[in-house]
Amino acid sequence: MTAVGIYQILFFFVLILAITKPLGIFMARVFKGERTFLHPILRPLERGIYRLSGLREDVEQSWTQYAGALLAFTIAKFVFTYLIQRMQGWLPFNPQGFSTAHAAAGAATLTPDSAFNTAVSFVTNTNWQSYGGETTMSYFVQMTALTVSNFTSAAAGIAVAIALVRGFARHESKTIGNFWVDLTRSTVYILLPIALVGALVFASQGVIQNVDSYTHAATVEGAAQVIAQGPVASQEAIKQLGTNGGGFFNANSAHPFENPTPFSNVWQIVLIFMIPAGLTFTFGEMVRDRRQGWALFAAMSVMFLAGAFVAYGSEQSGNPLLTQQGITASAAGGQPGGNMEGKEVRFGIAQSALFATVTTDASCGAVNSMHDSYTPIGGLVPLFNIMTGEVIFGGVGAGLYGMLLYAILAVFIAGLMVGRTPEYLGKRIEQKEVKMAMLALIATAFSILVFTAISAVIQFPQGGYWNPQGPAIANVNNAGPHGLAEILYAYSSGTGNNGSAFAGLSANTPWYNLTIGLAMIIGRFLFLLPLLAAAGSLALKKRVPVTSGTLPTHGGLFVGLLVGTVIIVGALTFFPALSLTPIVEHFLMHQGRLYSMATPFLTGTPWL
Amino acid sequence: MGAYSGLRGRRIFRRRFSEAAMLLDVFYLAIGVLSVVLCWSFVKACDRL
Repeated sequence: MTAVGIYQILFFFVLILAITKPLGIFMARVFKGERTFLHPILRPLERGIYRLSGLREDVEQSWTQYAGALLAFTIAKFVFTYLIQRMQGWLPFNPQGFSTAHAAAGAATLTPDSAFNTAVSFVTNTNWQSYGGETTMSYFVQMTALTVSNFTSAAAGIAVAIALVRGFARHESKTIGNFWVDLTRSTVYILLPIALVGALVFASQGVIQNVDSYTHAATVEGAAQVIAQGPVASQEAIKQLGTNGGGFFNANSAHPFENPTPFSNVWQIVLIFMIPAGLTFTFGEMVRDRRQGWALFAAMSVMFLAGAFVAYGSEQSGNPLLTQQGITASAAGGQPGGNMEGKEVRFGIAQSALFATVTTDASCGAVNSMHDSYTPIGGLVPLFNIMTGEVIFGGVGAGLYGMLLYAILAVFIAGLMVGRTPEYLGKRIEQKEVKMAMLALIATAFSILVFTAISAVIQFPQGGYWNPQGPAIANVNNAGPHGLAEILYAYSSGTGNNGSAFAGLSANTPWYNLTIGLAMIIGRFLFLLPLLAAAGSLALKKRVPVTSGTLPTHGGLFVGLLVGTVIIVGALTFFPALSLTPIVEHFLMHQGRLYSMATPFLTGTPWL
Repeated sequence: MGAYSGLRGRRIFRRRFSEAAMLLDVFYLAIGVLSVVLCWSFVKACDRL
């Protein structure tokens, strides 16, 4: 590691630390319905939305009503997003003529399975993309279906987190808030204003924003080049702020029109962590004990810094087999050293490894480098981050409710150790809450492991509908453990609603589009709904007084217990799968074996 | 939506989409909607647990 690289990571962390409290207080005021400095401008808009939709903001919902509203909203958004995509040929803002008879050369077909996958992906806040944006989607689709979903899916995640916080904060209450009100307030007061500022900052850095036809240019060598255009800045801001991650272009944040400068790169990752970090403070504020929020922040910070430095250290060390060939791995004389494969020179190794860690700590999924090209340990960090539920700050809302799930488990384990009924924030954690927490964990682990296992063995006829390449493993780009990691990463990313790809799997086939789509639905709802159930159950309970036997949940002991629970539960669930993928790959690399492209799966032809 | 209903709409639609593609649209829309609807049963199950 270099000193500059270490400073860059620490500088980013300090920025997040500085944002957490003011943003957290602001969000708490928004969700408590208190006046903020934005009310003079935005309150009329909020009131107008309620009036138009016939909504009464003072009417609250039980947890089942809250969940029902969320599901109804999801269905409507799914159908809308699907239909807009399939009908893009008739809709405006389509200068490239996608899905029409006069489509530009190189345009891809937007198939029903791809439209399904994309619709599910954007309504579940995953933004897994089996399509290339610039060759498939019209500006109309990008703006109305995808960007709007970026706002609404993020707002829905925040709403659920706030509902769970209310579960802890209230006592003897049958209601946990109103989904429609929380959705509106998240969008109007939090996402829209920050996204607006974010888009302007991106535009100032050179991120494009237009609805022009693609530019045809001649290169210096005289070759013809088509340069894609589009309303990118507006999508880029909410893509990161809402931890959505779906790129306007196929190369995502590695594309110079999405992420042109080192400054825009730092701004991107600040946007990713901003709301999730702020929500930890909001949590403390709403349960009237700020120390509780800081405890969650501390646990997340420990895991974030550990992951960032492991990934950075591994990438900066580079590939030992290349070092043996006489290639300098150490940074010197303006050379970055280390493993620069798949990374942008304008960002370098530290900014790439940091981005990879942040995007998978959160359920964002934007990438500024190709995770497939990382060293095995460098690739293990993002994979493990996703598998543990992306609770290290996490997705907007999803990170907080995921971490609260682990907090429930942590106090349960602590309670078992000392033989007391576990308590958290003055609420007894009983059978119902633990059942719900376990249900959420099992459902997501089931989705990742079972879909990966099926895809590793399932056979399809070559040229058939479901997977024209033949068996599902024929779609991987590398042989051996790395190929299996590509499949494991895809289902982890889908289930974890992350959306980043290892980039080695050709996933735009009906089989992968359907199964990854289902994994996204399982990962979103079978994780979130049990937590809403827990919120309903907690809100009903009486508050119990703190006694000398109560486990303090704001100190270092609890932070350690929480971190241990996240890591141990993740390790127990996924260690066998990880052993077959990056871990074994790491040892094989040091033995002199790498896994090249286009070799038979799991046969492992030595590369050197 | 309009393209799916009405004779003229259907004719325009068929010019661009084959019958097979339309069936696939129905299939994938149904899977998406049904899987979220099934989540409602999951809500009920969680409520009973």
